[in-house]
Formats: sequence, structure tokens, C-alpha cells
Amino acid sequence: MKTLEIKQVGKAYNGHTVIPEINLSINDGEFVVFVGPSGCGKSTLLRMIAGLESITKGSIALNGKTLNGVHPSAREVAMVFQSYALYPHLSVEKNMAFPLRMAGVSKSKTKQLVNETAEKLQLTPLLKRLPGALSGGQRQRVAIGRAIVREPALFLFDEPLSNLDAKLRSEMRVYLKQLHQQLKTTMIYVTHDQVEAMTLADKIVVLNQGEIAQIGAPETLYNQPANKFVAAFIGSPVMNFIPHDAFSSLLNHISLPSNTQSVGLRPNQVTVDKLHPDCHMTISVVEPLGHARLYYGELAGSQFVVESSELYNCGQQLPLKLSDSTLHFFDHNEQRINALEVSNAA
Amino acid sequence: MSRYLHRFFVWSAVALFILPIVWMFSTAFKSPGEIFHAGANLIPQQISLASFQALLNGELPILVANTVFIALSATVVSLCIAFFAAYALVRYRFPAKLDNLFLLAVLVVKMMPPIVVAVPLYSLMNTLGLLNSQLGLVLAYQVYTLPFCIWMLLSFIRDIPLEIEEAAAMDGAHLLKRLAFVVFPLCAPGLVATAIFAMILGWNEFLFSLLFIHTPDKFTIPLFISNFMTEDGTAWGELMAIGIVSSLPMLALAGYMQRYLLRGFSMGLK
Repeated sequence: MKTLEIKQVGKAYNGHTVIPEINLSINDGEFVVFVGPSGCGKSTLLRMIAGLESITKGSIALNGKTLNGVHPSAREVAMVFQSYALYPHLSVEKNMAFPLRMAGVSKSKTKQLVNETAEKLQLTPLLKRLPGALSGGQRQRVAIGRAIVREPALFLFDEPLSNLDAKLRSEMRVYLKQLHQQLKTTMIYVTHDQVEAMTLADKIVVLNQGEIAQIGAPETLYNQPANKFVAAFIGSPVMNFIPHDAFSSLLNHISLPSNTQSVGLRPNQVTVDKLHPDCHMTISVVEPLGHARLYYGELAGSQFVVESSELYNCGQQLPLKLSDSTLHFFDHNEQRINALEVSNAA
Repeated sequence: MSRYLHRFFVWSAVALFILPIVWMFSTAFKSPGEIFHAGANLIPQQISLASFQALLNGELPILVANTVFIALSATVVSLCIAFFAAYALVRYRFPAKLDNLFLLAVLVVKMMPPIVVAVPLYSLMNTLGLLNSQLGLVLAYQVYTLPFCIWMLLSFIRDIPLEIEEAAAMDGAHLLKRLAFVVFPLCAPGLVATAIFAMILGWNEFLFSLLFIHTPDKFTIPLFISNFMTEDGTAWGELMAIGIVSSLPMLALAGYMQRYLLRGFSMGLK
């Protein structure tokens, strides 16, 4: 069953188009992540779903009910904000009880629901504290508690982990994933961090300049990026791109599909082979990661990064076997050349 | 050396501000004979409550009640209107920058010399039949207290993050509920600070009460104070005593609300 249906939705501010037109369906119980660079329109789209931004055109429907013009309070949607947006004058208990109080739920039922949610989120010892006396992670859990206490049909998360340090962020990622598995409610999560997107999502929506660049499972986006933008955005370190002519000069025995403009290679999918190398890269910078090293240099006039567990030092020649590496081909419009065309060319 | 110079200037400034207050207390507790005694003695030779007794035998309790009622009413009316006005000016977009124009107009009214608005106000009060009434005076005071409250509350409401209100909207709170449960409690320190200043404005106002109030039973304290300075002479003892009596309630209020006042200042200065 489709939970959320976004049809031809567009947004413009004073004649300036931010989102030209978006069509998207989100199924019941999915964890969907909107990801993209700053200004791509992901937060605007989320806020339109929440009802905090008006829609210039199109329609949004939740469980078959059109949300256009419906006040945020009447949408059955809960949202967790980047800044947590807790009520600073209310205790944790009262913060979590706020949506129930607004909905006119009885005091005894409110107390029971708040206690149950606090138990689930390990917030029981903090119930009497004010938000100012909590750590970042605790505040985030209270914000989540306030969202889940009234059992909405849809959860929205607007970059909720961006104010946390790296360790807490990874802990909260696992926490959110467990929460989703437990609640089985549809969740939409906005982030600019592709690692967060990859680790959390059932389905990722990559946005670029207000348009959907690709929708798919994390593995699909990583292994079969639909275009150069997605290929460059998903994956860390960023994919290497070599122009087709430079690539041909390095490997003249490999025939590229006819309309290839550039070839992409992920740094961790480049093979280092000291016995039968196709080419060498002079290492200019080495970044140890612990389990491997990142080698930075230049290959055929382009910046190139290789991730390998082989030990080399700065200034040394890194032997590369590009023909054994995973290659991605992109045409003049920066679109992926599909596997069939690649095999035909071979 | 610079440390001593610094201390000298600090204590000089303190003395400059404290001296009139000390003088007021000193004169209020002197006997009528001692007040006009030659020489400037700060400490009364004999403590006398004659000036206070003279005041209490008169209409002072009624005057205090009048002043409290008028200042408090003017403050409450101003705060109620200013709270909604400031919220609308902060949160809503007005076409053609009408909000800025409105704020400028409000500021101009506040900065006008009182006598400029006094004559049209007198005419208006006369037409409405509100001359010599406490309601008329409360409305007249809005000319000063309302612009002040709007401008002061603007900064306090601006300090409330929009996301908190958006979160409240997502949690099911419509505008009035958001104002009551989120905005109002969050700017409470600012409201208290604004209320104290508005109370002081209303408490000390003289010109409008002089023009609009005619019967002694409706006099306010500043109007009553002026009665001690007549062509026949000045009743210094009573004047100083009423100076103390009229300052104490405001000092007590500010002292009692000091916690909110300081929080209000720190909020508004952000």
C-alpha cells in the first residue's frame, strides 16, 4: 500500500523556482532518505509534506487523503527538527506530553503513553529534567519521543543528527534504525550526509537542483549510479572520473561504448597490481585509515584517489590494473551507459 | 595610580547619583523647623515623622490607589495589545514593508513632545466624554506605553526560534494555543521587564493627568506632588516624604521581579 503520494509538486518563491516538479511514491513502512547537496530542495520538500511550506503546484496525499491546504496539526505527521526544537520551559515529561495535551487526551492516558514511550527510549530517569539540562543525544531522544508518542502515520526527520559529534551520530544512526524496525512506521529523513543516507535508508531519493536525480536502494545507487551527479555524490571518497580519450590512451586494448564521455572508478574498486600494472600513479598524499590507506595523485591529467591496503609511501609509483577494476561509463549528458551497451562495445 | 583614579571616578559617580536620594530621606525625616535651619546637615538632629503624618492625614491612600489602578490598567492594556502586535510584526510578512512603516510611525508618536499630542487628545477625550475619568487617562497613557511595549516586545519575540513554534504546530497547536502555551511562557521574562517599565511610565506621568483630571479625588501622585509647590512656598518636608512614598512601590516591584528583569534584559540584548 502506498502511504505518501507526491504528484507534480513544485515550489517557487517570488517567481524563483526551487522545485520544478517532483513525482514520488513512498510505501507503507519504508525508511526513505532525501539526500543531496545544500540548496537542492530536500528540506523544502520535507517541509511541504509537513505543511510548514505551501505548495506552488501539484498535490500531496497521505493514505489517500489530500494534504493540500491542511494545517500541519491536522496531518497525522510528526517531525523531528535539526535543532530538536524542544520547549525549553517544559520538562522532558511535559515536552513529550505536549502533542497529547493538544489533542485533548486525558491526563491518565497521557501519563501512561508518556511513560511507555520514555521506557522505550530509555528516558525515564530524565522525565523531570528541563531540556537545558540534557546532552545533545538525550535531547534528540526526547525530540523523537515527542514525535512517536502520538503514533502518527508518517515521521519526518530534518537533518536530526547534524548537531551531534561523530561518535554520537553513529550511535544514533543505529538507534534510529532499530526504532524503525520496532515501530514499522513510514519515515522520511533528510540529510546531506551520504553515509547517513546509505546506512539508514530502504530507499534513497537523490535530489539535485530541485529535481530527483535517482531513486533506489542504497546498493543500487552505489553500484549503478544513474548519472555522474549520483556517482559523485554517493560513496566516500568520491568516485574518480577520467575523460574517455585520456582513459583510452592509458588502456588502448579496452574498447569503450561509442558515446562514452567519461569513465568513473570508485577509489576502493581500483585494483593495485604490482605484477601486471596497466599504468602507474605518482603518490602525492597518503592518508592512513587504519584498515587501508588513501593514495592521492594524478592519472592521465585528472585527480585520482585509490584506497588500498598495500603499503606505499609519498612519492612512490602506485601500480594500477584499471582493466580489472569496476568501471562506470557516462555519456555526453552525464547519464550512465547501461550494461547492455557496455557488453556490446566489448 | 590608575587603580586609585578609577576608584575615585567610580565613587564620585555613585555619590552623584546617591546624594539626591540621601537628601530626600534626610529632609523627609527632619522636623519642619530643622528643614529651614541654616547649614546643610545631612543627618537630622532629631528624627521626625511629622512630614509623613501630614501626608497620611490627607488623601494619600486614595491617591496611591488611583495611581496604582491607572498605572496597572495602562500596563495591562498596553501589554495585551503589544504582545499580539509584536508577534504579528515579527512572524508575518506585510506587503510593501508596511510593518517597518508602522513601527516607524509608532516610534514617531513615542518621540513627540507630550504637549504636541496633548491638545488633540484633550479634544478627543472631550468628544468621547472621557475627561476627568480614570478610563480616559488609561487610554491616554497608551500613547506612551503602547509604542514602548511594542518596541520592547519585538526583540523578545524575535529571540524565540521559529522552529519551536513550527514544532508546536506539528504537535497540534493552532495559533492561539501556540501563543498561550509556547510564545507567552517563553517571553515571560521579557513581558515582566516590559511591564515594569510601562508601570514606571504610568506611575510617573504628570502632564496628561494634569490636563485630563480635574477633581482631587481622582488625582494621581505626580499631580498631588505638584500641590506642595505653590506661590506661597514649598512644603519641603511633605514633598520629600511623598518622594519616598511614591518611589518605594516601584523599587519594591523591581526588586521582587529582579530575577525576571535580568533574564528579560539578557534575552532582549541577544
